[in-house]
Amino acid sequence: MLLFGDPIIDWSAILKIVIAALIGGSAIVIVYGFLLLGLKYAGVGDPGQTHTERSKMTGYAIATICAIVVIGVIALGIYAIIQKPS
Amino acid sequence: MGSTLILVIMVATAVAFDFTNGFHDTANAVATSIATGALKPMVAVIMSGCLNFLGAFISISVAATIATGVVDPSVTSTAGGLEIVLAALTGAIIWNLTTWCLSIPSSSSHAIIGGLVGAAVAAVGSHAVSFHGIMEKVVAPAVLAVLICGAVAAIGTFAAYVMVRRLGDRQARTGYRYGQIGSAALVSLAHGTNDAQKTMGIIALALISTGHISAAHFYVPLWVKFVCAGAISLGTVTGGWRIINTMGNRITSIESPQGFAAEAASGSVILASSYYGYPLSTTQVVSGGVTGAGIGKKQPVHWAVFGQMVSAWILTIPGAGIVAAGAWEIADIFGQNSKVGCIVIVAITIVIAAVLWTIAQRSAIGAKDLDRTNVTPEQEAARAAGGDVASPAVA
Repeated sequence: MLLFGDPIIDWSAILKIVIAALIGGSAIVIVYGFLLLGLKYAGVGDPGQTHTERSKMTGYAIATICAIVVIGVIALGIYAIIQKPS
Repeated sequence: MGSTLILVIMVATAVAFDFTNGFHDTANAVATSIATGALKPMVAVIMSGCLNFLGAFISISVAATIATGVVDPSVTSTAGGLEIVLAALTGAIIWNLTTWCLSIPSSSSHAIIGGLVGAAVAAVGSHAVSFHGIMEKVVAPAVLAVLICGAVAAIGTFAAYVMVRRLGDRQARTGYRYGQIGSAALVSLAHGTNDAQKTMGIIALALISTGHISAAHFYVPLWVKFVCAGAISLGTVTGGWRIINTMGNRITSIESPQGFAAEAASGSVILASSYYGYPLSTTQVVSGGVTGAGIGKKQPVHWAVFGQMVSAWILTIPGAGIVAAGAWEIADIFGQNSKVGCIVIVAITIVIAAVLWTIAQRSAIGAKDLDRTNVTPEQEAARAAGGDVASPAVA
């Protein structure tokens, strides 16, 4: 889009914002959902169900990996802001 | 001495604007968490206030945009530069308080930008304003950010409910409530990186006009960061309950998975935009996120309320600009760089603020009216299915 001959939208920046938003917004929701699913398999917050050791281990492993991803994306977002030159 | 007094008045007015920015805008970061009962209202705003304080120190790229990208710094460096900034602030404060009184979430960012434009045009003419900068850095990103955040939140909400079906209602809703605490914290931090800096930019603009800072070697002094971070945090803790009510309850009915998706989308859009130096409105982004969360679950969105907000967004820059231009004209009656003129427009602003505050108290909404932490995940599910759960204030 142009205003007085100069581009008014930096589409490459907008594209990067869209990608960051999709990763930080949508993908995190999915990963967080898998974190909750892992906790369910591990029997956390679900005392009525019986869970095998294998199920618990798998659940904890999924939850741990997802937690690392969620925290990592948040940390990456904050790091990007800190590193932004003024 | 005269310009020092005007500078002090201007900084005090900027801090007052930052405070209104806090209670008008910042609480939007936690509106969905309060609406779903993930957080008690007071706990939410205190947490948000602390994270806003922290976020204010993270980056100054938005402050630089406000200080040098909207109005030609050479204009604010002139003898009447401080009056221009002061008039801009009064325009923004009055616009903020008016929309707060009407319970409409509008943009404090656009209010201050509109104020700067209006005051600068009134003082020296339209050539002082970088309309290209406004379109590039303000208007276009604002429109796109709402659309992007809405789309991302809709996708996130759809994905969240796919997970809800696999997890079971109770576990999912409890889990997403915990997630909302984290996402609300992230949005609050993101808000601090974005909104607190706007006032830093304004004060820096005044310091440029008095020669304390060079526009060519722009920086924000540490005391300015502390004062701005403190003011916006205090405003946040005061709690803009009227706007929280509109955002959390009146656009659409929000459940914890939707709230999490909306906040995650909002936080990521605001952080990414701050990185590129776009002074986005948190209000607009979160509104887009909440609306997208409603669309993602295919539930009714109150388009009349959304339409009111969009109307306010469109009117914000011209509205605040007209008020600011009027303020500059009043100050100008007393002559350029006049202490009396500055004191008069500040006094008028205080009177208008008091009147708007009094009007708002007739239909006051408090933290207790919005507390939903007593609503269990089962009740939330029943409400979603059309069951009867006591609704919070939605007047």
